[in-house]
Amino acid sequence: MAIDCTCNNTLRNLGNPDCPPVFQIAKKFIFVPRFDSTGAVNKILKTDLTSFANVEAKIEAADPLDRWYPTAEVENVEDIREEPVRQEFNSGKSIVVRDGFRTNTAFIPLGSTQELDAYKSYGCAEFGAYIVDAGGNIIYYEDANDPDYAYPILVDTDTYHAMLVKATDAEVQMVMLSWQWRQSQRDQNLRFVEASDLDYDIESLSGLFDVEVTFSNNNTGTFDTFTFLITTQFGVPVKNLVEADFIGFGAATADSIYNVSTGLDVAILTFTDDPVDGQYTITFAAQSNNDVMRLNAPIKDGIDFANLSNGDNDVTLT
Amino acid sequence: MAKKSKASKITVGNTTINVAAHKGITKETFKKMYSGKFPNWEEMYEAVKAARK
Repeated sequence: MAIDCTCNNTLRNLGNPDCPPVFQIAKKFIFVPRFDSTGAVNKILKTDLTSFANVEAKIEAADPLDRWYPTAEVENVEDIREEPVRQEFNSGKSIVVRDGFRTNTAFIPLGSTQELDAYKSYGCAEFGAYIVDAGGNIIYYEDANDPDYAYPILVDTDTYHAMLVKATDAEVQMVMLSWQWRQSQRDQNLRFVEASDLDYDIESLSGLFDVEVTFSNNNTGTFDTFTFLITTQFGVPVKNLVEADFIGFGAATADSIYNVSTGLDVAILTFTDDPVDGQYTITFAAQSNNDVMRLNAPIKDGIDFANLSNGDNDVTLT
Repeated sequence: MAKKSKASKITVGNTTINVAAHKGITKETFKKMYSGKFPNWEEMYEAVKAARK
């Protein structure tokens, strides 16, 4: 009896359709934390996968533990299970002890070092992945005890590695991702939602961008204004922000900033979209000399503004 | 008779102004707050005043 068997196994029917549901090569991964913000396992109803609204809500989830993280498009993917480990007997009989590990390797062409920095962080937490194949299908893991849901395929985080592959005369710079899938993830439990069932183009899904901010005009001596320039971590200006995008960090007051020194939200009186792309000037009621101010804004249009309010990007009025 | 709703924000040029936060503000105060920051502060004040009506 082979290792995958149970005592009451019988042979299964082997009907073979003309158009078997087969996977194509992976083109993108959607990384998902193993556990969500409530401590429950992250999963999604299969029927919810078909609607962009549901997937967008996952990608832009406020809590990072509830969020999905689509990778860039990948190339030269190899996802290979090693030969099973066998025990050889003197008679020549060879019995399978266990399946080999399945190892995934993928390259992100033109991957930057900033992206590498982000990808490296995935080695520090338990996560799984949905696979988007070349046909636009979403491959997931099915739990026989919970068949209505699509589970991410679990990654053995200990084996995860991201590294920079520098350009040569013949190759562009790339980021290489490699990992082993968890040994518990059985190939026969992989399923997919067909691209034709989706109301969106899953290949176009993109992860969120982080922001960086630089302040100026905060030393006017009036303590009632400052200017800030917001770009993505790749230096692209974040344009078309409006007053309503900013919420007080203290009491979540609309159209406000936060005075760290007093612990109070402060209403924005005027909000100017400066001629420089991504640069804005705000005014507010005069605060005190050396008061520390903080911006705060929720995720919007694929931009995660969490860096504004993490305490590392405050501005002092002088 | 239905009460006429007032705009909570108005835009002058590329600046959005919080009308409610300027409730009852006098021209002198407005000038003191903004004349050093906005060359068109008078236009902004008139817009705020009109929006409050």
